[in-house]
Amino acid sequence: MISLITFFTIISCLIMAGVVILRKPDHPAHHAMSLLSVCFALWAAGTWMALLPNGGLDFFWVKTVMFVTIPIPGLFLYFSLHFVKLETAWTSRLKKLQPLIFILTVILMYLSFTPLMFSEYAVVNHHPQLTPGPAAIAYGITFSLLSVCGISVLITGYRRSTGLTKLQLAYVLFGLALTVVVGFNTNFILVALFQRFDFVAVGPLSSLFFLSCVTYAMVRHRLLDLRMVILRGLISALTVVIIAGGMTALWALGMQTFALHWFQDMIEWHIFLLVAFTAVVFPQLLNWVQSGVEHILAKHYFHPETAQQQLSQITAEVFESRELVERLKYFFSQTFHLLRCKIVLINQRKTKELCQNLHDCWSSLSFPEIIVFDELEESEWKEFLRTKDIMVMIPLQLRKEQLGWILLGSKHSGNAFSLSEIQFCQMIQPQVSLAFFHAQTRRKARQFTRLLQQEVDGATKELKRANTQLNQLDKLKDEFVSIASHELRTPMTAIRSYLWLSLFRTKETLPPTVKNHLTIAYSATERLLILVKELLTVSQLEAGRLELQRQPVDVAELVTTTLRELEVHAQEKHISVAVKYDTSFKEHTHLFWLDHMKITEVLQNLLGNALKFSPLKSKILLKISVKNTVLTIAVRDHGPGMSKEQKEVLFQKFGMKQHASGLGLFIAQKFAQLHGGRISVRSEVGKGSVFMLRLPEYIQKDVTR
Amino acid sequence: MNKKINILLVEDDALLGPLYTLLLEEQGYSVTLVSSADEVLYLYKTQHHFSLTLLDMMLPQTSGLDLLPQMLKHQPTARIIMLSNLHQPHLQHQALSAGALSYMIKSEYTPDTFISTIQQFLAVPTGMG
Repeated sequence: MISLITFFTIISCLIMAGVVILRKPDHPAHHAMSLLSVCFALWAAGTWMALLPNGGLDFFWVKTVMFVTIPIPGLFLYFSLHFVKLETAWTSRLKKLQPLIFILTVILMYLSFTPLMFSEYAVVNHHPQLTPGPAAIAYGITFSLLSVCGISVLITGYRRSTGLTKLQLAYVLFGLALTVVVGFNTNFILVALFQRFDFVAVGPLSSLFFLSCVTYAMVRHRLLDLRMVILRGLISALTVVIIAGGMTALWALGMQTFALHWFQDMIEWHIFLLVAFTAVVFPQLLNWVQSGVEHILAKHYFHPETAQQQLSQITAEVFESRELVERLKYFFSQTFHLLRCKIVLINQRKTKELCQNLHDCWSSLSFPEIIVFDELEESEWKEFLRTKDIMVMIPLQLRKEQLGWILLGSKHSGNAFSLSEIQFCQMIQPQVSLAFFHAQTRRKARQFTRLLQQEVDGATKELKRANTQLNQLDKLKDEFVSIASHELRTPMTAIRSYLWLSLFRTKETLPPTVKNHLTIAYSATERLLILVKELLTVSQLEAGRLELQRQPVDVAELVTTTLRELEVHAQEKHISVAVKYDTSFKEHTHLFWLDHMKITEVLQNLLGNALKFSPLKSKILLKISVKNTVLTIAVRDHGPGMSKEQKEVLFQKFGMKQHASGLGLFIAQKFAQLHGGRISVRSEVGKGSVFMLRLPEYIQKDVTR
Repeated sequence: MNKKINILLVEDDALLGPLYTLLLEEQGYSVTLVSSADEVLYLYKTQHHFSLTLLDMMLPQTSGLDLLPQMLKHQPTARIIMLSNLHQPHLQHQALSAGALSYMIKSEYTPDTFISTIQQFLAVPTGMG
């Protein structure tokens, strides 16, 4: 048993020595710690050797134990002075005394093999008996003094430090306390005062408390919260004791109550049951007790699950960057009890420089997932973080896109960030980054929509403006046509009027030749006026500026009026014009919705042509009918008729070369088409022509005649 | 009693103004020829009454159409005939609905048809007895 413990102790000590020295090969505290571990290992070895039954060598081994334990206080003080970065008057004095202490230690070590240390060694009743000499007393005094100094240094350091250093010293002191309590009792008090060597082997084992605590504090930078460690340790130990005790009591009781042999028969079975039962019950019980105790004592400690829940709620609820920043700042301040907390987003003018600095700091450390102040080596960047009071830097990034930083300041208590807290920060980084990314995306989408709306509005305004311009241009063209017509017709009117006056109103009789010439001139002006009017109409038609003005038209009346106007011309050529109203027309009770002026013109044109081309004394026949709601006016003449080629160019502009007005039929056809109808012709050379004007019924409120 | 009929002719053209004046005076009507909007409005404002007013559509810096309502404001019972050589049918419509008695396209009238049309409108008794 003792061998096992000793062996375990030695191995552990040596491992820790190695770990510590490798962590920082240059640091004096690490040197001291390493050597201390080695001393403890040797102490364990020596004690083991001393306890073995090895004849007369007991005494030798006891002296060896003394030899190896003498440097311990010296090394301890050396460690304390260099582990705690404290600069006071008496620490510097102590440091100056180091060489003296070293010499003293060496002397004592030498003296351990002399009778000055232990004057006598005897075995009385199987128990070794030691008689301490003056050197031993000197050692005792030295040990006490140096230990006290070391411990004071540590305690002062603990009191004055903050953050990680404080936590490290807490671990050191805790470990030390445990070791001292146990080791001191088993190896010094019991041995020196009560001459009991039973528990000597436990001494070195207890040193493991101190060693492991210190090693942990020196090697790891992110330490578990010590209070939680102690609390949970105590709870676990307590629970184990309770359950084990309970089990044992149960079993003992069972053995006493029931027959002994029955138990012994099925002893393996019983052990199995008990172990199984323990395995099931223990974790549940531990959990239950732990959460209960924590709820009472450790309510304000950091609980990752609660924090995660709160954070999830925030990220799920908030979609706007600014609000997100505020909520998160509050969350972090509350959860970690921070003095200050800041969230910096990139692309903000105010924090541009800070962002740049943070980024440079981050890149100088090769872009770690999280930056903890306490873990950094002393550098300009650490100084930068110190001035800004940034304890933890959490980069917010998503798919290589940098979003910003969460900067956690120091805690109210000045304590360090524990391992679970830092792990939590690392864990939530993607979640928070995503929330900010989402908020950003939403903002961009809204911006885009707004921009799009602006563009659309702008484009609409542009279109409206362009449209207005077009309308204005159209109007100008209209005006041009109008003014052109006016300018042309005014002198024409004058010419025609004065010619007329000359021909028909003068009191003087004109010489026949003059009269003749004037007559020709007069008819020329007539012809010109007609042409101008037609040109202007065509211009309007081409531009699509001609609109129909439909009104209910009495077709019969229109026809009659038109005929009356042309009566004179008809009589000149002795042509008789007959009108036939078909029964279909008479039965059609509705009035036709037509543009009166335009249809009149069309009819005038058709009739005029008929009159022009009919020979003397011939007949012109008008037939008015309604076929399938289409008004049909047919004008038949007995003129020369037209060939196929003539018919083809009939409705074209200036198609009929010998015709007085080449535009008449073109305009007539356009007018008909505007009404949704058309003019068609049936003609053969020598057989006259029939012009058919077809006008469909306009779907309007029908008005009965 | 053969009351003298006076006609107001508003025509700025140098050719047509004298022409129409001649034609009308031949018939024995008294003709007042003015050639601008200001003159017309002055006459109307000062309550000079005429049996008939012949108003040209194209006056210097003014459209006869714009002038019409102003004239009618001063003399709501005035009988005004629009004279035009413009080739815009919809103006005719507008003039008539604005209160003009008729709309004549100058180039379509020979002196005789011009006079006969005028006489038609004079035959209708004026509101002035």
